[in-house]
Amino acid sequence: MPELKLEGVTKRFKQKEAVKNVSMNLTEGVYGFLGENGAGKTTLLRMLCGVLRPTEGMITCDNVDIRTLDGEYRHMLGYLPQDFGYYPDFTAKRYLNYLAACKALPRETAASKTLEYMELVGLEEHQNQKIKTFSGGMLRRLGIAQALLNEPEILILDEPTSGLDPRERIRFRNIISSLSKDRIVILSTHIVSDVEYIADEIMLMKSGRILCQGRMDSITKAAEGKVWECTVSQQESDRLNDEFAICNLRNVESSVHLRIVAEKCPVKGARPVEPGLEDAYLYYMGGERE
Amino acid sequence: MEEYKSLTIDKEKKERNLEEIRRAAAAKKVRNYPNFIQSMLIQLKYRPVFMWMLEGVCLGAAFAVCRYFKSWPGPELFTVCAIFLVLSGNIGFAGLGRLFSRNMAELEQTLYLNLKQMAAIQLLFGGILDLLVFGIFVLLLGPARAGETAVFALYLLVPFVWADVWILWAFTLLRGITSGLRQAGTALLSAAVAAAPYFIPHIYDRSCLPLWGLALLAGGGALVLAVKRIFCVIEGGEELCLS
Repeated sequence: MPELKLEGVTKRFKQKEAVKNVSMNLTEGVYGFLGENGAGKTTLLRMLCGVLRPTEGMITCDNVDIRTLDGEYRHMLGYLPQDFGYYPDFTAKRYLNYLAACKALPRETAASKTLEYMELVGLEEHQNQKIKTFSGGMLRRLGIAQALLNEPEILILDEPTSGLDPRERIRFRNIISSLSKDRIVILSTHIVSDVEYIADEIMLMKSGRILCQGRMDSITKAAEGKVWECTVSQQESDRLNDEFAICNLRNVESSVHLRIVAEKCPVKGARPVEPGLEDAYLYYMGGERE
Repeated sequence: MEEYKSLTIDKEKKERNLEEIRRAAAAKKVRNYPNFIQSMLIQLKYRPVFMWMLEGVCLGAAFAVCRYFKSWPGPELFTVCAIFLVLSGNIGFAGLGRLFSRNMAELEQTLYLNLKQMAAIQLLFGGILDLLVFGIFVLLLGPARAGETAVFALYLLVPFVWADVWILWAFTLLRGITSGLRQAGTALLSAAVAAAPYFIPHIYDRSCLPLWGLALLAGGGALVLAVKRIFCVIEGGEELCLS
């Protein structure tokens, strides 16, 4: 079971620092990177995959720099990029066979693994179809299948549920949960429900930094006493909308039911409620809490 | 000797230990490490059929050029052959271009057979086609011009080398453009580079041979730098990612 260690990892592009001094240890389990667009999640995952080189700091696997490990590290790696590429003239089967060969799977097992993972993601009926005819959801499922082909010890998925409908999302979550034993699974998303049910540890990222890191209960604990529900008039709702972070807004007859994240009681009659991950996310993103 | 006869093997313990070893062996991941030839065969196997066909057509056309243009005057023949060689260079490098297209580069960089290795193999494939076409022209057309085989080779190589420099730069400079447009653009511009000497007066005179020699050396240096740049771009990684 490998252990990944990030020490002071920073990535600077010409005008921007996309990742700032990130340090963490990753062992067996599912890690969810949650953050808004531009938070630095994809850049961090690309560095973990060896696609980008850190400007400062080091990423090691079992205390060896992943750049030094080179092919040995890539043997352990399965990656689904955010911008998933494919050769449109390939069929799904040919594409997976090609990637299986490039992942150095032995020929005897490559064909069976290709079929196994196509069945897992529900693409076995489309295996002889050209990829250019696939829908967005089918492409994403193909991407997940290719990431799993070499049964990687380190599985990195960038926005894996992008384009998937709710049923496919649930299916994906179940697949990842079932595969997370004896594996490091890292997924990045800006969709809270993607990580809420399956991540062992959640990292909230903003502007290149990790705002907080921990199990779901410890992250939501910080937002305890900061989440309120109330029913107000439309006019009052507009005022509160301008002043506070609103988690949920629902029209109920002539009133508006609000779920608000605020340090103190936002309006008379609001009652405190148990925070969920989405509430905690809004709480952290609204102002920096470490 | 009597002591040894009294030793008995605990069969149950032996079976338990063997079972433990079998389980540990089964849990171990057996990794495959393809060598360079096997990696090349992988790339060959998954080349699109149309690329093989295109290269076949290219080689056939090279023979046709030799047959139908051999009686043309020197400068015109040199220019036609140089343009043809440059266009076949574009075809030869299509495999390399394909690696950088369709957002595949980022994913391919994370595979065991990674983008750097794939790029090296594709450059080799492209070079083989170019060498074949070059060889056809030099062997079939060179001797016809008595004593000018080496000069003929020089007249072909210089535009070819400079066109290749442009093609390699275009892969990474023009990534935002659709691959079909990019390929068409690089082919047109590289053909223009190949045709350029024809419009320079007296360029094919013997007295200009040292210039050609210098141009070849400079082009060779630029080509080495262009190839090095491709590998640096891959190492850096930023230009592999679409966003």
